[in-house]
Amino acid sequence: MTTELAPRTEALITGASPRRFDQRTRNRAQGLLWWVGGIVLAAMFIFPLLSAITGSLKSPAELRERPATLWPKAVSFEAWERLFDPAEGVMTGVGNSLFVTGLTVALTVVLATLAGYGLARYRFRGSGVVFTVILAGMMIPFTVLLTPISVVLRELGLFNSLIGIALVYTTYQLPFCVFIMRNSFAAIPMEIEEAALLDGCTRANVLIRVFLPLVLPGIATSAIFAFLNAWNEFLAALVLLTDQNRFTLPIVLQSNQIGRMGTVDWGLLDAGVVVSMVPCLIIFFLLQRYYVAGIFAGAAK
Amino acid sequence: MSISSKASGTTSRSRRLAWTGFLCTTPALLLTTTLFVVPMGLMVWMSLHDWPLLGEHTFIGLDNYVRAFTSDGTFLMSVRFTLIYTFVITPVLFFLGLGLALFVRRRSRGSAFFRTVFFSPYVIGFAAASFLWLWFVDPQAGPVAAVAHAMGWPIDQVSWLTETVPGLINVIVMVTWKVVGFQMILLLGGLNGVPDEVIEAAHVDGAKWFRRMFSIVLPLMRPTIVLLLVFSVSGSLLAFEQFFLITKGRPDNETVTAVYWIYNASFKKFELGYGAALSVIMLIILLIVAAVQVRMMKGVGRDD
Amino acid sequence: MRMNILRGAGVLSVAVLAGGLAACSGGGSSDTLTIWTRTDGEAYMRDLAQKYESANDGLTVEVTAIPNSDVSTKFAQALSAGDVPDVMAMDVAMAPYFVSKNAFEDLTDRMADLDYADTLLEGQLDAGTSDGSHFVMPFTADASALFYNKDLFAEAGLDPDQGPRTWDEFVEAANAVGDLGDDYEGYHFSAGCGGCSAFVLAPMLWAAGGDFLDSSGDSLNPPPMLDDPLTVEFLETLKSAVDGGGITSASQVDGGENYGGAFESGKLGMVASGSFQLSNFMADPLPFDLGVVPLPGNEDGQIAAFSGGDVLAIPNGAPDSEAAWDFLAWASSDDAQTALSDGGYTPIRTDLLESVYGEKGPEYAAMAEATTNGRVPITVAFTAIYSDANGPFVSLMQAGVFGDDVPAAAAAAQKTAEQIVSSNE
Repeated sequence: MTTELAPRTEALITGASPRRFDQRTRNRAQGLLWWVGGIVLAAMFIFPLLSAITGSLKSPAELRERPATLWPKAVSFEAWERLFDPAEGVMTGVGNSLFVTGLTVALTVVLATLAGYGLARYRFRGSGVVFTVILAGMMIPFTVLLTPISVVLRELGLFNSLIGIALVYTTYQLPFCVFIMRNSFAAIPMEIEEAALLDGCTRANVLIRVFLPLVLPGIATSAIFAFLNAWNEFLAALVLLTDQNRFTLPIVLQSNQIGRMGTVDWGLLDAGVVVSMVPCLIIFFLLQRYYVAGIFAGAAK
Repeated sequence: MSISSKASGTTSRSRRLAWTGFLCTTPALLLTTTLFVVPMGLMVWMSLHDWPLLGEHTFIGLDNYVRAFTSDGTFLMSVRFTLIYTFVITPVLFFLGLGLALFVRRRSRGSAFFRTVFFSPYVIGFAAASFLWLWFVDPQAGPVAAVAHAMGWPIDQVSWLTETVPGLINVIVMVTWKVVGFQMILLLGGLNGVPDEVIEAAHVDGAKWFRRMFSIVLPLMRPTIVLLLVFSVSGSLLAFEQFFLITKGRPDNETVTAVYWIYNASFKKFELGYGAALSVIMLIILLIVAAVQVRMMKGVGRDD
Repeated sequence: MRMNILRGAGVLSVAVLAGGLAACSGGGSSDTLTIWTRTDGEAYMRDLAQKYESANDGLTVEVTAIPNSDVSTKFAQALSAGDVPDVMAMDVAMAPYFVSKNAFEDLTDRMADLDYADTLLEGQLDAGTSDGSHFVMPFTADASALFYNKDLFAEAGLDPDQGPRTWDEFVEAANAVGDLGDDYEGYHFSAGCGGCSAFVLAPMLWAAGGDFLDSSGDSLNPPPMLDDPLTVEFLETLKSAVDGGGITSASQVDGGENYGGAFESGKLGMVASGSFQLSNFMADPLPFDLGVVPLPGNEDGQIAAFSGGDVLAIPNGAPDSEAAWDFLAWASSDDAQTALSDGGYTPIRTDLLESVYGEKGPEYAAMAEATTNGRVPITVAFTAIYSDANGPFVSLMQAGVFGDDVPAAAAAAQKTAEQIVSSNE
């Protein structure tokens, strides 16, 4: 026969929460509080971005009003029309950016995966040095290295080339991505590898068939960060490209948004921010599943 | 016999394995060498010269370094400012990120939505975000002013752009808004490595919540936290665009960061040699800071 | 495993080679003329390029526009690498720096052969002159003048047909309009943007016979006189407008982003701006009466203007120097300059300013007058002293005009400016 203790005492002993009735109302109250808190926070986070959207829909005259208006009095697509005016070259910029970013992501993923694999699953002398050398790329803002980099690119015949830019971006995404991939590979228990090898797989097969699915989250993470950084980069692209039809999106947007004496075309800026954001958000949505799980695999030991 | 030789690592097989490992890193290493190590070497070489972008360069040894520490007051001021900025923003980002991560862990349909919303500012580039923020807080043209006006609240927004402390806070708010989602995601991952019961128990106990967090949960997340801190601190020490575009260093260059000053030297004054020297100094600072942080990681998990 | 690596490496090297070959853009083909311009000038440059192409069969003109704020950076990098365009169109204020670095070809002899050589705008020409040799060709002018809202003037009790003619009248007008209400500004300028402030304020000091830099010599690197009594007096005058409510904090925080402030919204009394703004206002008529006067000095009758705009130059090492000169000659000729004038831009020929441009209307005539009397501050350190948001001129604006102690601010700025000038010797 079980001795029934008073709920409070029971709680003290087991550490479980007291009476179920209290618990349910408390849960509901907590739930409501959570939702309210969440909405408030979300509103704060989204407000600047929403303003960008509403700002892009205001007419230039309205944007000059003092004091500023909250909602567009009359929706005007003028900023958007100007943005997509072929003379402004926005679509060319998008195309160039997509090319450079896509190449950067592909190269980064391949190189970081390989390097992470090598560093995590093999012992060799100097692996620490290799890791440090690659990681050091993160310790310096690569824009200060622009002049030497442009010298090197000229020597390689890669100056004023989108491929050259992609190579530069890849180099400076490697530190973070190699770090992530190394952690991802390191988290895979030896037993899995040994079992596969015993089953007769070659090392290459083990990598491709067994490991890759396991480190997919890490790959997604690397892909997202490489994408974001390459997509938004400005100064290196400006210095290393001289052909206007090779300019990437950030340069095109900057040219259009900043006018005489530094005047900023706020409507165009807002529209530009929205346009810039869209591919990044798409990528984030697509890769989100892997990516959120990926941080788990990458970081949990 | 095979076991012992595997252990000693001198068999041809283990040597071949070691080679394989190394070769895997070769492409990454090759690219890094070509486009980082070589330019880096060039830059160190340049730092020993008076090297104007246009014109002749002359070897001056360590003069640039001496100048950085003695006659260039702004550089030291910028380093100090950068350190202050880093010290303030790192815990802000961390604790807010942790708070958001805990918040978003709830098994609710809203979680995925909130997660995305909190992360979304991260996807805009820093320059675009800075411009957006500049407009956002503009005392005449921006939404904050519009709201304040509509509500009848007079806010002194001028100081946000022209005075040191309000300017710093302004930038910190902006960077937090932009970056905290990233920290949240990383910490979410780390939290997922901690058993649920531990966290639940921390919840229920009320007042002892903090203690439980600090003494049990956070130590279990140490690898994640160190990873996070290394990137967060490095990123903050290298802060540039947000100050360049929002406070523009005002007042009197008090809100100029180290990289901002390097940019000024290299791209505004075209003194590449001096800019190079400043960059080398920053690199050394960062390496030291990172080494300290990595040492904190030693002894936990599989790391060298 | 090894095979995969090697294959990977092979793919990478092929990609690199392919990229290298693809990047080999043909340089210096004699059928293409490359021109770089800043994005501000992109519109009219492309128009002119088209005209030039149709006038020259078989010639292609490639125009590349560079974001305004990055022109120096980009051009300097290109120079150091030897990768320059045939023609460089740049802000005239940047010219002295590049001239001092021997970036441009000597145009003196070729220019002398032009029959309109003495109608070329002096202000711009001087900016690119060193030791009597000319290195730049004036291209488009952009002089600063004072625009004011006649309706607001009337409302504030001022004479709408009379723009301010002295510093005192200027302050009086600003304060009067500022008094009309909280949202009203008497005068707006971008105090956070050095180039902008110089563009609009320097002429007022010049008109009174003063200057921020002592350009009485012929040096391309003149010494600063920021703490000169007249300069300080000028700053005190501006400060009195701040104290009187004519100039508000809106000017203080404006780093150039809101240049021109709220003039079109009708709540700004006066703003100084350039000819480009005039064409904007004429194209999109304002909801009030517009007045234009040259910028005044501290006594009646004194006027001056900052003659900005673009100049053309042929970088040393340009792929096709002859073709480049042909373009320069054409761009300054009647044809091109008249076309520019029709498009609302200001020509750099004094004869055309009077005839074609000035005749478009009284506002244009006022602008033409300002342009002809225009000057450029000639200094190799324009960026370091004026434009740099962290430089002495901006500090002077912020701490002087909007601060409490003008003499102290002036002294501090002077010291910094002296350091910059001496480092350029």
